[in-house]
Amino acid sequence: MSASGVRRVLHVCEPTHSGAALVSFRLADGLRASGVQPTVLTPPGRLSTWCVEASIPVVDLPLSRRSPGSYARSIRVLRRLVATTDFSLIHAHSSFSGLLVRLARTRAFPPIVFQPHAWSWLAVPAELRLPLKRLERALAPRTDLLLCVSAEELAAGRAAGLKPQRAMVIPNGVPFPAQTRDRGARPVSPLGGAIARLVSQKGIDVLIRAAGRPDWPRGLAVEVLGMGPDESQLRSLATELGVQDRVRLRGYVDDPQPDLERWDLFVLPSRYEGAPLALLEALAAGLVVVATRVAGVAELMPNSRFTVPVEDPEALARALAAAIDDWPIAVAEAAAFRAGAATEYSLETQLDRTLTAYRELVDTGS
Amino acid sequence: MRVLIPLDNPGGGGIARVGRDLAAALSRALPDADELLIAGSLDGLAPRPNIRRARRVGTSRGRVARVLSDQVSVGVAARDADLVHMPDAKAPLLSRRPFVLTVHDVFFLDYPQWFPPAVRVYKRRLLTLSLRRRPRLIVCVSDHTRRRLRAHHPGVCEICPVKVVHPGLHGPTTAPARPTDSEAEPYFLTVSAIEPRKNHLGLLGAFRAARRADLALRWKVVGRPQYGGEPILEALRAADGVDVVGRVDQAELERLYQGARFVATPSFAEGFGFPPLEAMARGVPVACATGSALDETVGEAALRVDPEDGRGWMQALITLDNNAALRDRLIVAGRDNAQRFSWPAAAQTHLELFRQALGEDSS
Repeated sequence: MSASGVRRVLHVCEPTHSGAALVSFRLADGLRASGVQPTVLTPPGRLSTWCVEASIPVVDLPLSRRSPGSYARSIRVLRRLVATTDFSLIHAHSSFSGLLVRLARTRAFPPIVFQPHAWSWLAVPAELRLPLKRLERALAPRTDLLLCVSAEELAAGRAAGLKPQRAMVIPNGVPFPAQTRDRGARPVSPLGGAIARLVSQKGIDVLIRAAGRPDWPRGLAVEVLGMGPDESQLRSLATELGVQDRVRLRGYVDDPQPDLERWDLFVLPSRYEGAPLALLEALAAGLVVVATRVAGVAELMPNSRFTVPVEDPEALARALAAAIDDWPIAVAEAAAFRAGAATEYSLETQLDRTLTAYRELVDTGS
Repeated sequence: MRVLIPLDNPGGGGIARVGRDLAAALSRALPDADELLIAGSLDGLAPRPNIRRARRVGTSRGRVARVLSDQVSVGVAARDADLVHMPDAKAPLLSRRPFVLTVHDVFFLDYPQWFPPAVRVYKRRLLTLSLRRRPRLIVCVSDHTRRRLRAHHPGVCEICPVKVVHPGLHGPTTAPARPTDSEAEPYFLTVSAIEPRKNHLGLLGAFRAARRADLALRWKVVGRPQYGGEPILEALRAADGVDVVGRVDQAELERLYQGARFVATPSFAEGFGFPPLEAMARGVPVACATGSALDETVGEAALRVDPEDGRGWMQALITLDNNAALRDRLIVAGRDNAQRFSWPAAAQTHLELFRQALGEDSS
């Protein structure tokens, strides 16, 4: 597919190492094959390192969430960059980047694509949700294309009163290996895994509480890969409940791929998500998945027997037990979900759809 | 002008030490016509006739009893003062004298999960109560702290001026001894309380990954556990290559600084950032987290990494170990940066602010 009028795209991404950062890198990197020249504007960090290693031009964004003084500096950097480079469009990844780009917008700006990767109001205390929804409503006219990663995310945006000029759903994609480990035999000592930032959103505390419930399957241990500000509290909670052998916090792991291969099942206990990339990686690796019913899960795992409400440790423990008890069914279900996702949620599909969306936006004007 | 400063916790942590250092600097900068009253020990202060110890009443045993007796002591001593400067964010509750508060951080509001429930409630209520008593002035140790205070108490600037005065730094206090033979193995250092905010566990994951990638450094952890520190300590003690040194005296700390290849500060948040800055003042290169007050105080004088970027920290550890040219550059940049923070300058600014708080001409 040709890039048509889409020659140069500026990706603005404030998170430096989350799923949003990975998605923005994969898009920037993957679309080069279609003739789209990327530039990435991001604070120094992991995303920046990936870009340098892949020879993608990267510009330092002097942005820090807790430093309002950095917002004005970031807007100046963005405006200067836009004024000196002929970008076909700007793709803002994450709510915070979206806020920055749309606040900075002048008449000289090319069309703006905004991809929230989970709405901002989901991550704040109740009293801040309404102001953030109002802010998003106010910024919607400055958004030429709202790109959501799941139908639920788009529906949540519309329910909040957002009326973007255009909106579409393009699910995240991951590489699907041709073959996965055979997990057909019921594991004697099942080993589960989770990959998550250790913050409230990811619900690892719910998983730990589930491990203390009577329904927790005998012999099951779940390894959690990831770091974050709640790590020591989670360790304390596991110790307090006496389940530190059932839920093992392994901290930062540089390459989780060997662990995905080793694990029998994957747990997603999140309180909310946009479209959980870790879940998609787990499906691609052929893992049985037990997940909370957050945005993106129903699309990836339609009518799964092993999804549970959020914040429900008993239900999570029961679902894990059910998956292990009905192992052949769980494995068959995982294989079916993987097959279903392999096309819809492949990286190639995401790249094709994104390029098409870019072209429609640029060729028809914003 | 007669200023009372309570220094009621001589063995306390960082905040108590800053209060004592400020008092020591004020004792040297104080004009002869002014008077400094210290509720607490005069150790470390310049011996001058216009500096005297205020009467202390009550007990220092037991936390609640100490809080109460501190307030009583301040209430009694304040009768002889024109102004009370509270080096922590707690107003004198038993005195009507004008007072100035220093706010070091509001982490108990930003990250309540890092504090015991009772402490969190105590600190929150005490700050609210202190603001209600209308201080003449609030001093914040960084612009970051001022912004966070204003974020939680938007009306604070209508109560009184809120000024930023960076504390000073100390250079090496003793001539460091040479590292012993047992420390021939190279190491890097962290110097901080062991608590969730300091992000030892995040650094531990990166350290493990770096060791798998052939990092030959050991990690020496200086500091004692605070609330939430036990699971961190347990994980550190169980890890290969980590030496939990615990709390050390100043001479030992200087020796450890002297032998360290670099200092790492992966904190999620700092109100000012003493650990990296004190390393800089000693000519030790620093790897330091991004965000909070560190952006303002450390700036570009350290290798900066997002506190949640495990891979970034892994690479920082390896890079700082291997790249002598980078370490040399950071040593120079760090020394320059550390010079921005001087106790004499901080004391002078405080004296001017005290006069303004009393409505005196500071010219």
